[in-house]
Amino acid sequence: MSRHLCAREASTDRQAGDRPRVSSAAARFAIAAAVSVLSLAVPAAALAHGEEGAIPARESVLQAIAYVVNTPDDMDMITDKLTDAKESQNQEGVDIADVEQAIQALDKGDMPQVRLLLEQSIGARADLSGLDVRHVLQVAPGGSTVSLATGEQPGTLIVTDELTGRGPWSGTDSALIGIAAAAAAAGVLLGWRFRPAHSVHRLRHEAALARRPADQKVGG
Amino acid sequence: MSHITKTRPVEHVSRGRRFVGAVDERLGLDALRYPVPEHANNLAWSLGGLTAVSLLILIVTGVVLAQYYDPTPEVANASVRTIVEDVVLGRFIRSLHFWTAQAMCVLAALHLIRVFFHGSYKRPREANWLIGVSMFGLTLLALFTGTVLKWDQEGYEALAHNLELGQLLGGAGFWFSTSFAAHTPILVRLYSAHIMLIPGLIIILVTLHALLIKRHKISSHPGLPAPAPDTPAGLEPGGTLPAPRPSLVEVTTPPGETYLEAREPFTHHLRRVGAFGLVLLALLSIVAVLFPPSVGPTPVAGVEVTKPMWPFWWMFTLENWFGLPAILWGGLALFAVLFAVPFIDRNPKRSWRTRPVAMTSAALVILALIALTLFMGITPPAAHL
Repeated sequence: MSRHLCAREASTDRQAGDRPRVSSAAARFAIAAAVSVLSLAVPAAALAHGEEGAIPARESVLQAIAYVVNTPDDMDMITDKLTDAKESQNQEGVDIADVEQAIQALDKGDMPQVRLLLEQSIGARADLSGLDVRHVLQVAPGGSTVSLATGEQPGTLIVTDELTGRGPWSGTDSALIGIAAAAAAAGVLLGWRFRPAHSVHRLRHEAALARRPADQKVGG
Repeated sequence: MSHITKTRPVEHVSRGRRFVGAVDERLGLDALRYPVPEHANNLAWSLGGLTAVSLLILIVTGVVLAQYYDPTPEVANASVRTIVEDVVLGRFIRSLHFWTAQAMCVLAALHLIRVFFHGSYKRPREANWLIGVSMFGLTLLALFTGTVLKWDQEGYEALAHNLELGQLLGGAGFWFSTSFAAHTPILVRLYSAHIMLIPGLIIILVTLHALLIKRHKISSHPGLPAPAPDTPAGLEPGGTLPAPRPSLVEVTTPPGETYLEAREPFTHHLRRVGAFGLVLLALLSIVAVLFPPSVGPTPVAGVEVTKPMWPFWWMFTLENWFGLPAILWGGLALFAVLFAVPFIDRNPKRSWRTRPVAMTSAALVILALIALTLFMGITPPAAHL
């Protein structure tokens, strides 16, 4: 279609013989450039719009959960993803009624409820504690045909909470700190014992002393 | 019989010494006692050794982690959580691995800076500089693959960036293409690179590095009377030297210049590095106990909400300013400059005082990297993909 448009524009331009040559060339160039950009942009935009509908709703819901977990303040992105899920042509494995309830909960700012509803909508087990990790290994109800990830697929069935690094202080921690402190002391002691006999400053001084007679010879 | 035994001179050799002697006779460990300058036992000249100590700690902790880690995408994140929560000392070992990897990066960078500062990369040590820069690059690559392995949102986003950069490289980025082995998760391939390919290459290069150090010897200190043309110290090439003091040894360099240097066996350097290494291990252990890293949420594709690990921040500031390809071009530019250093800087002088252009250039590069890194530290994560 864009090629026809381009040809028509070029033909029209050819007929405009009474225009000055430079402006005609400039106009031709401008039209050609505009048409080229359009020919690139229009199908891409159409494709992008088509892609949005083609993205499985389950994927959009997972992305929405990822935003809820990682950046719960980013309401716009969460809303976008839930809208994508609702408008998706492929809603297999997603309970859209739950997604709609999640949108209502989002409007109220009830984020735990949003996450719970979204996890329910894709049949994942809710785990807001982040402590029990084994549920991640379980296949979602009704999803017994889940295939293993290939390529760059993340293989994520459910978005877990972050597992914080520092837990409660334990006896093991105390023992490790004690051993490490003893090792540090031993290392410092050994480092001092194995220190070079001369510092760089001392070596510089000794070398200066050693070459003094030669300097004097050269000088004399 | 007993009479004969009594008259024979008895040498009191301890069991330990006999054992060392027996091992030395068979393995030739005495070759490690080759002379090195005494100044090599200072902390600044031991940074390379400390980098090697870090590598050793990483290998040991990595072997333990590999017993429990599962690189299958569906369970990779969960297996890291299992290491942290269920394996005895798992949290500590993972944390020690995490902090040591960053320490190795810092120590390698400091070692490169020390070598640059003292001009130790100059003739005849250019090849060893190139090997060192290659090892630094591999260290960063190991750090990158390590961040991906935990398979959380941050690691997955880092991988997504890398896949895009692989596409930018065209055919040269084939390994970072998922179509290279379409049925194998790229996580498994990165895991194999992290535990085998990259450490294997580093170990090969470390061996070459050590052999070349023995071949060319540890460089003289440019602050001491040395053969560098800018510090002749009244020593004429081939000239007569006064009788050396007991601690000083007369050294003749390949260009035929003679100077005095205090020497110690390399084994003394090793034992001092060992002592420093013990302190390093202890400090890293304390940090590992106090600040264990978290395990992020399981990853979801199509979401960009995290920042990468801090050694890569400078690249991501460039990405914020100039777009995704800036990561690639920025990284390539830095390493191109590092590789070119011995070929650009043909000034034979080694003292920093006599190399104002080199010192200023290096300072500008380092300041730029620090500024870009700090800028990323105060910038919220942005979506690029």
